[in-house]
Amino acid sequence: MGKTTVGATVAIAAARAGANVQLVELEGRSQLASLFGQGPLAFEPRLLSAPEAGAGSITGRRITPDEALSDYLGAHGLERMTGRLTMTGIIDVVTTAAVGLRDLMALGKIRQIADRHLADLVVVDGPAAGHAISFLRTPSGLARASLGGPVHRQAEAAIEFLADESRCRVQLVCIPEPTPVTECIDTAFTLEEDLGVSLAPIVVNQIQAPIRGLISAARTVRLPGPTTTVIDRRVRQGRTQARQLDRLSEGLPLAQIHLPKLRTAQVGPADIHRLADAYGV
Amino acid sequence: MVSDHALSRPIATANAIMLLGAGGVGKTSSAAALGIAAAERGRRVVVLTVDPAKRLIETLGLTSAYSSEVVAVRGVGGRKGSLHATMLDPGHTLSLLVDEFAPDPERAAAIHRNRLFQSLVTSLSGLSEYMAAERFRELLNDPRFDLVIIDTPPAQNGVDVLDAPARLTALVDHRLYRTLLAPRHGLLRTLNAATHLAARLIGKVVGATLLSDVIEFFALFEGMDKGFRDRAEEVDDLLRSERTHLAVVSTARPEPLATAAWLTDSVTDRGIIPSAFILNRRLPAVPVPPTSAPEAIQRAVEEHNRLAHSEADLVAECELARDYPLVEIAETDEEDPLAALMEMAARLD
Repeated sequence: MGKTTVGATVAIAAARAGANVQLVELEGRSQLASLFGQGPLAFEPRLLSAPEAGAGSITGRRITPDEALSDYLGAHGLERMTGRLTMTGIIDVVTTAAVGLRDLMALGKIRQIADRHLADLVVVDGPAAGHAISFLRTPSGLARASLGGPVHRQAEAAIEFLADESRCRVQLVCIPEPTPVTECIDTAFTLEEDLGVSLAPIVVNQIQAPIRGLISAARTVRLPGPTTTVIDRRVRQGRTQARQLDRLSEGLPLAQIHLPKLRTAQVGPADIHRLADAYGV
Repeated sequence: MVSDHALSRPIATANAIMLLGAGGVGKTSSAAALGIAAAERGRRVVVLTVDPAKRLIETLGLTSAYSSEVVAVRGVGGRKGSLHATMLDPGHTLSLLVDEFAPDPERAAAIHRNRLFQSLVTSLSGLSEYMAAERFRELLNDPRFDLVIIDTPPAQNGVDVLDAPARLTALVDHRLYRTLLAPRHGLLRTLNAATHLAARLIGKVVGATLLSDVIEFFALFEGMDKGFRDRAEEVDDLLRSERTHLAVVSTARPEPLATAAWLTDSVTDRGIIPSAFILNRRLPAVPVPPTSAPEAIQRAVEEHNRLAHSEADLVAECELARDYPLVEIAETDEEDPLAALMEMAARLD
């Protein structure tokens, strides 16, 4: 769907509006930094785009659940502990049974960046649809287990953060095709109704501008087979796109932001800047 | 190297085919299409989708009910073959495992009541990979089927399915948890002084309740580890058997290609060699229309070819495409999802 690319464009648009933005990737193997013409990100934030005339800066970092957990333990004074191996072992025992703990810590770290105003806006390149739901459901799962203590407080704080629309929103990305639209509508309802998360406008990526006169031209010209296939597909995609955008509007009462389809397989800095124009900042 | 029939042999003879790849590259569709191809050859196939998104079920025109039921896909497979599809329900699978290995119903009930176990079953986060491997084993042993195709969760989690047997054992038998239980002998007590100190500190950070719940959790599984370990070994053998084939799926885009390369490295490190590299949704460049053709036609072809050439450049640099038998699947024109899968099936075999 181009989730990573869209995340980068949101960051650029916000920076243009003057915000200092921190872009966060969760898996550590995304091409987020390469969109800015840079090498892979690390846990420590790095400048991806310097502030300039009225525009804010964009920094990028990677927060894997494992890194978030060791950061949390470090912040609580466990780093100085001797016998680190034993420590790692026990943590391993705990996270084997309480599987969501690492994910909870990643959410906690994101919350911390936002709440301590280390950036005006934190943009997280989240997991894909199905996994996003289980990721965001982790805090309520752990809270329901009512384990008490710091973990419970972390879980409660995460639930509150996710449900507070002044602090956090989820932006869904889809493309104008039947299955992605269905999935986007289903995910939106699950997020709002089950998890109490507020949604930002939906980004519909890979929108193709209609080509005037293509349908009638296609009827009159004789072309080689493969070329005809391409023309027919383009005509059909135009219809599908219109139909799916209607379905999305009917299914979800949310504003839509349309990003144009790029004619390149290798997206770079110039492309994401052009895409960011769609936000009208 | 392009090798159109790289998957024909697995389709005809394998007992299992596992697909790995980044999210959104068409793994689910590839799994379904492979299933159709094999069913058409007279095999009795079941496709297991691990991805919590219900795409396969929808693509196959079935209900979107989330369940661990096995559903027949109609209109596929001719006289001898058949195609079924099923979705992973990790919580349900884990519960069945507990019931099977618990020494008595009371213990099973106690485990089901344990708070950590409940959060494990309901939150699902991190659980699906443990359970995919177990469900895979069940289906392989199911006499109704002779080929199981698994569509793994995206990226990292896909490799986790391979490691799941080991982690499943860890779930019920953690060596260190034993040291957390009060040791009875003097010597052990001295040895574990550091452990106890560490445990107390961790208890402060994550909460003493959590730590004692963790201990209770493992204590409940006491004695069940042998069952789990034997099971894990069986699954591990199945995953590594030569009757299990693995294919890596990607589209011609930098991000999924990078993920595909990383996944391939991860599985070859584990001693498993992919049988094929599937490049999905390829867009071949097409002949340019004569200059006399209408401008609208020129523009449509120009836009298509620009992207097609950009993709071709990327594939030309891709090492996976050189090192493994490459199966390229062109973007389909079919609007009907099942017909599209049928078309894809014909290209895969």
